[in-house]
Amino acid sequence: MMMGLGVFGIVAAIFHLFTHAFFKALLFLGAGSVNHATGTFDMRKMGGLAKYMPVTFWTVFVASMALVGVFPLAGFWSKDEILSDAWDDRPWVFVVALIGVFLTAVYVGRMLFLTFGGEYKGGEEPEHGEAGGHAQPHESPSLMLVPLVALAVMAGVAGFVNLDSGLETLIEGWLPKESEELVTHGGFQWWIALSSTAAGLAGLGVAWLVYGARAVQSDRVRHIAEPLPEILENKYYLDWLYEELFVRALVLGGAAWLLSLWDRYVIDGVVNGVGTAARWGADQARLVQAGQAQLYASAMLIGVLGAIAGILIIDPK
Amino acid sequence: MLTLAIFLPIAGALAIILLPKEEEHRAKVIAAAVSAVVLALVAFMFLDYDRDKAGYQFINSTTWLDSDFSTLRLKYAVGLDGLSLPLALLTAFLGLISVLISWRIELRPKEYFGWLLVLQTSLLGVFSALDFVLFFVFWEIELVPMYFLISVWGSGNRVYSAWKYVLYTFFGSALMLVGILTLGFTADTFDIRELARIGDIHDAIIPTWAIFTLIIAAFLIKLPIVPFHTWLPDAHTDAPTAVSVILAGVLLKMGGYGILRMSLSIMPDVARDASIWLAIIAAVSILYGALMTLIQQDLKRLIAYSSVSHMGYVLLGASAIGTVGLTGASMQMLTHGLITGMLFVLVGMVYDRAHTRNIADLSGLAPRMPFIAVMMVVAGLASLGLPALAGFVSELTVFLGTFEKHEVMTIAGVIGIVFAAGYILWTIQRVFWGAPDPRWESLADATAWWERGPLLAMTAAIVAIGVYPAVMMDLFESGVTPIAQRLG
Repeated sequence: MMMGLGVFGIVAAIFHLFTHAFFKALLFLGAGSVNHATGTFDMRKMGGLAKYMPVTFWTVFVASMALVGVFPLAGFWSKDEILSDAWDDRPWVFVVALIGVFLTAVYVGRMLFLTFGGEYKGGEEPEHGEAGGHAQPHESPSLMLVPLVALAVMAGVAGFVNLDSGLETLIEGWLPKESEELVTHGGFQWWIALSSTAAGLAGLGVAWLVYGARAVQSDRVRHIAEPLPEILENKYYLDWLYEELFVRALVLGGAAWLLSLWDRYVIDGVVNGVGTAARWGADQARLVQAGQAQLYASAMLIGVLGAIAGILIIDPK
Repeated sequence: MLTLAIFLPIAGALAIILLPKEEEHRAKVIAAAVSAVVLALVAFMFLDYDRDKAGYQFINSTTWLDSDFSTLRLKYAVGLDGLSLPLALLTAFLGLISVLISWRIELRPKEYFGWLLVLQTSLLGVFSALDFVLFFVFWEIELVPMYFLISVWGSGNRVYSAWKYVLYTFFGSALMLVGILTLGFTADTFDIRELARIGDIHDAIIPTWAIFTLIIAAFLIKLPIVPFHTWLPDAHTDAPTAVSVILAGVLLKMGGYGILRMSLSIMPDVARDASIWLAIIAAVSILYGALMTLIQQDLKRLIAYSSVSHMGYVLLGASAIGTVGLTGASMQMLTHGLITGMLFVLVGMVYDRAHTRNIADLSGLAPRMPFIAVMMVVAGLASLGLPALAGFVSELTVFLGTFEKHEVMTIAGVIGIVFAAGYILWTIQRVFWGAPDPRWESLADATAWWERGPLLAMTAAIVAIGVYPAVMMDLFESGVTPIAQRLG
């Protein structure tokens, strides 16, 4: 979507938002359905679910293929438009996009093979006092299946709405005049469609090798890719960056902590200091009021002399 | 009718004092009845106020002190306009609520409820006084009940906090008194309407900016602004719940109200020059207060510091010296009064049950007290400025009004909102969610009518203003428009 906008494929970007809504919503629903059956979201505890929950499997399969952009599903059409707009605007963006398609296909394939392929691995351990557990996964009730099917239909056919450029005309009608000139119009090109399909299929193939046929051990992949897996498992350390560095170290431990010291010791120190000083001053001044006539008389003498001296200095005449 | 509303609480306080010892449990009933009547009176005036005519209405005016030695006369003159009427309504509303949530006070109830009523009189008086000296008298009367309420019924380091509060306010008042006297004797009147009509005075014995500084100092301390704010967390934390509610809900607004009514409208020329300084002070207060809020460990202290931050928006709006900014500033006073008042009620309820306000000790309270938790979320979301709740309207109006005049300071203010979201949500998460603690297993929810009633009423007000702000905003706008015209 952002890439579509970045290369000024405004129509393609909106089109992709539209198709994306169907298959991504379907994927989340499918995840919910699978969780309902197994009690977990951990794909390593699933497997073989295609056999137990065929409707969920087929609808998720449609959505996955739409996500990868397989012809003739919804994702194919919108993704193809973005790719061809990218090629027209900046070819290197197109290359990045193709790599993206390949990676998408790998993770989608991994998801499908882990969840629905192979043998069932037992789902979530039953908690204490909970009967049954998830030893025998089952298909979800129709309450969940009907939306899945409805979305699967749309994920299948939503791409056709722009076949005759109907959507394109509609969207461009809304654009303000100034932005219309910016819009990239990449037309349908066979080689772009074929190359993106090839990237998708290649990705699925890799996924099949690792997670389906187990021809390559995933541990070995991990070993070769060091230290990439650690970085990925820690989400590029972004959460750490935000929570530990920005929030805890800089804001809470830094600025706010310093301010609280300032607040307590400097500001309140001054406030309390004024009070203490007033009390100390009063204690000193109290000594003068001791009731000694000699002290009063001498103070009076000094005062009078001081007053006379003052008058003479200011006004000698 | 306005005079009746102002002095009825004092009459009620006298009646309470005269109660025989064995009848002292009736004190709260009398206080509640009196507060309800006052609320009804002010609400009636709110509905009866002629919005088309605007200006001061319900005026009662008479000569108070007439001296043979000078032409100067002190007047007893009260009246309400679009700026003061909503604040008077807020005072009466929170006045009744503060009585209700004190229903369980057992310690010397006659004096407690008597002081609460005296406090109401002084607050209503501050908002309706039309004579600067009368304003000052009401302003000072408020100190007496506050001192006793904090030092007798408070908790923690209460005597220190009460003294600190009184001395701080007194310090400001002394400066203000010098300003008032200089202003009044030069202009030959203390009538606020007259002073506003005359505008800036330039033939006083001290320069106009000095008078401005003297007077606004009292208001800025009351608001409060950094670095004159440290009385506030101490007083809030150690005051009993109801007093914290009034303190945050109404007393701070005396400062904001004074800035709009006195500083900006009586000395518009200086105010215009001072505008950028006010904006800088406001931005510093907002960010300083917000950062301090983030690391507080005591629930009450946390909300107290958030008040420092939120009152900064009042000053920011005022610094815009235009109709929109002033409307936003006055709206912020009203909505902050409701929202922070509600937060203090809730924190008080948590403290009554758990006997601790230490955030680190509290955890997983939501299943134990679902009603309080829901109310806390509502008040919290309102405080961080969620649209459709009251806080959003006022903050947005402040920003809209101020941006053109002081861009950088406004942006700083908006950053304060981000911190607000942080400290509010983080606090609710730590206190109400998280693992349930066996220590809090037996705590009960708020079920009594005097607990639920005030909370539901405050929620209704917060939602009503959030969804349809015009009900208050039109009134405020009519009140600040003349001020903005003098500034413009």
